[in-house]
Amino acid sequence: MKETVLSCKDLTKTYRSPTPCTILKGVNLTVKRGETVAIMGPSGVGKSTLLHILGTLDTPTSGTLEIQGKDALGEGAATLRNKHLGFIFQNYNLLDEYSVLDNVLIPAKIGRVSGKEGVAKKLLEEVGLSSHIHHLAKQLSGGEKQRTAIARALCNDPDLILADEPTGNLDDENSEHIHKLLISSAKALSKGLIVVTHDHVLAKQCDVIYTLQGGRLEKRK
Amino acid sequence: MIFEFSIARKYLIPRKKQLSMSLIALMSVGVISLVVWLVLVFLSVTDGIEKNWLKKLTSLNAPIRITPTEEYYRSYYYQVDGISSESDYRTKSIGEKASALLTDPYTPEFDQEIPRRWPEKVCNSDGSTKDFVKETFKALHDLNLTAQDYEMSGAILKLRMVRPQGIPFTSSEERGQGSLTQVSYLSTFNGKSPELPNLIETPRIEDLNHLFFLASVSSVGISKDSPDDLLEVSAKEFRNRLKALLTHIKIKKMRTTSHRWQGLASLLPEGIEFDAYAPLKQESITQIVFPLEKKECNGKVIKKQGHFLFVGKEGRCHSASLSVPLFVEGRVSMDTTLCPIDYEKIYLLSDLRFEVKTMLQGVPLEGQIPWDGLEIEEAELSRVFEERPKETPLWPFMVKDKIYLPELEAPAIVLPKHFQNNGVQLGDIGYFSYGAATSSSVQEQRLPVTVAGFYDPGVMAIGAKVILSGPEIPHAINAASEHMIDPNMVNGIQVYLSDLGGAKETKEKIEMTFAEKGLSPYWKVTTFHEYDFAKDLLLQFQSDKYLFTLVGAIVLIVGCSNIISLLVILVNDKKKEIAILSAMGASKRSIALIFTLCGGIMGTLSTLIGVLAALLTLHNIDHVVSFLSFLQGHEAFNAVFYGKSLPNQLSNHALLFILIATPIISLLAGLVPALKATKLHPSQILRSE
Repeated sequence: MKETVLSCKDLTKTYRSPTPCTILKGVNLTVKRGETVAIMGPSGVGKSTLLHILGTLDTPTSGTLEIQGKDALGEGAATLRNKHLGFIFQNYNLLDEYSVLDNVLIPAKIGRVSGKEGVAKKLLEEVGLSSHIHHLAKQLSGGEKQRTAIARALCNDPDLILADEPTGNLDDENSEHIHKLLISSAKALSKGLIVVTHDHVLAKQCDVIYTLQGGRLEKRK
Repeated sequence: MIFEFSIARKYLIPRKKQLSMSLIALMSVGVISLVVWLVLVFLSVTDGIEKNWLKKLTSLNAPIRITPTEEYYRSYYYQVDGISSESDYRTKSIGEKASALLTDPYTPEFDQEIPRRWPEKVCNSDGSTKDFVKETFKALHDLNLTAQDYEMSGAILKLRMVRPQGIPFTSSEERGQGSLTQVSYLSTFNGKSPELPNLIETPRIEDLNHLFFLASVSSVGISKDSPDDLLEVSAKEFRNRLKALLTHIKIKKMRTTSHRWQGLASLLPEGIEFDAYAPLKQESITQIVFPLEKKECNGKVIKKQGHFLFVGKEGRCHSASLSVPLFVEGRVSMDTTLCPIDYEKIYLLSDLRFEVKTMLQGVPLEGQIPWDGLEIEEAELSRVFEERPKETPLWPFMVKDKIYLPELEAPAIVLPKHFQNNGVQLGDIGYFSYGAATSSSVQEQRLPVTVAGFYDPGVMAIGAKVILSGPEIPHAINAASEHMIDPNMVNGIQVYLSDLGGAKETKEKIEMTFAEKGLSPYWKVTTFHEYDFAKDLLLQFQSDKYLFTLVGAIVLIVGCSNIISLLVILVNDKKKEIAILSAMGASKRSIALIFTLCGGIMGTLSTLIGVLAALLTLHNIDHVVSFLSFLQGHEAFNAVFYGKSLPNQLSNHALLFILIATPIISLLAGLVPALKATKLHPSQILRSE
């Protein structure tokens, strides 16, 4: 029996302004270690909102969320996020004025974890950026930025990776490379992975595909 | 904290791409530095001025005063002198009591019977009369305190001011006289006061010239109502006075007193041409005028074989004797060495001769000339001696740590320096007029005195009227006249301390010792905080200090509020980074700390810059004052009020205030934007980006 890294029950999210609108209606989801999950759905349906709630960046209107068996909606959300989650965004969200290595090390520095430089360099080598470690993030191409973001997401050895349209801004060649990297890293390192995507190729590579429609999450595969 | 500090530092380091942010940050640091500099310099200078005033106050009046109580004046010990022949039937001052041979001078065989209602004698355990004064001085000595008795009085000072009319130190010099009358307080010149030497002014050059001018003027008849014609002293007296002056004054430089200078005739070398003007009258030269530097004139003058040869521009030659009137355009300054003196041959100042060296039109002039048409320009004075000199100088002088008044024909007095503004100079003579009560009337008595120096009285209300003298003058006046001032101020003991801060503690120690020795009922101990004439001033100092600190704090808050504006802009600018850090697990506390640290770093940096600038300014305070005076076109700070130069010591109190207040205010200023940063929603920012 694989360990559950994330579990949410009856998550709802209602925006009060400009007019009350419930975009998540009782979402239930469980992700186990090593399991890859794709969430698909039309634009504006609330996929990113759901991902941000699962990543504790946003709070649900109701429902429960547990990460590694701990309540993730309380005071220690930032610590849980730092220890157990890794984020990958469509627009990379790197710190442009910092070097590639520094970007990768940021979660470790926030968590006051020392001695992670070797891990960061190894991760950068694995994503093919060992020759770029001292480059500034702003000097990288889109593909390189996303690979840096993947290395950053893995640096603190998280239990779950949350990826929001990771290849949305990349060409096909780079997208394929990132897909492989993401799935293989999650599998090889036995991490949970939730990917919000429109990309069917990426979704098909995942163990489970969910579709978010009308505020509800439905399993397709 | 290290992570937050590194992010905060990164935000504040100027970058090309964030030029506007960098400029605002630099401006904020600049403004706070400026405020820190201003507050520090202002508080240091005002603190220094206050300390100087306190020093002056306590050097003249001592930080602690011990005055006799009513009980003392009613005691047998004090009153017994009034009925004792041994004491001339006169009560004694504290100074006299301290040096009296007998504690109880009463002799039943010779003196009148002790009245029935007479105070009881206070005795020691061995039955002898208790000597309050001597025991008090002993107790103070045992406490390692420097103490000296003082006496104050009041009288009218009338000075006769003899002044040269015409050009001084020439044959055309004449003498005139005026007078100055001033009602004054008189206080004892307390040589033991450690700060008093710093208040006594060094004699000025004009004072030295005046002393030489007065060397031949007799002080006979000084106490008369209408001054006599001025008399010359005898040749012997003149020589003695000159000897006394030249023993303690080494003349280094002299200068001509007017444009006319006949001494030049003997100094001009033979055969050298000098540019000169020589007006002619009936083909003969009436005078020769030399410019100080080479200059186109109406001819040239050569000294040749005991004559002057003037060659006009047109080439005509005229001859003139060496006695033709000589003038120089400007005053000639010359290095001077006094020639050996045979005092037996000295009758006038012009009998003194000097070896002089000077320059005229680039040509060195050397020779020996008499003191005629010259005055002192620079001189060295003897003021400090290893042991008491046989011939004392004519001004207050130091022997080891103690300062003494000179021994003069008429007793020496030291005046507040304000008298200099009325034209009073060293060596002026005059008298104190006071009333002496007789059985039928009050008669005026006059006590001749000589001005021996000036002192800086500070800002004490009565300071400008207190004249310092030896103890004999106030004592004589007090003994003869009714007390003109508060009886409690008349007589007492002054205790000097090196640290004014310890005054209250020392007072308690003295009171405890007096209580142990049974002296408490007879003495009242007061510190300078309690002096009637200083109380208001000290309270004013205190409230000024609070007010200035408050103003400083307000200015600092206004300066540091710049940080709020800068950091609010910074938070807006770094929204995305804040959201990313948040997504990576940075807590709200961590985000807030980053911006609070930004405020702290800016405050600390500004403090350092401001403190360094303040140190630099204080180090060069005289230049700053000169510059301010130049800008204003007049003296920026009145020397009478602020002293010769502004204090330039960094005030510890001001530095402590700045070092604590600035970083705290800056941190607090950083807190406002920090809270704003924690209110951001990373989810919204990341999606909108």
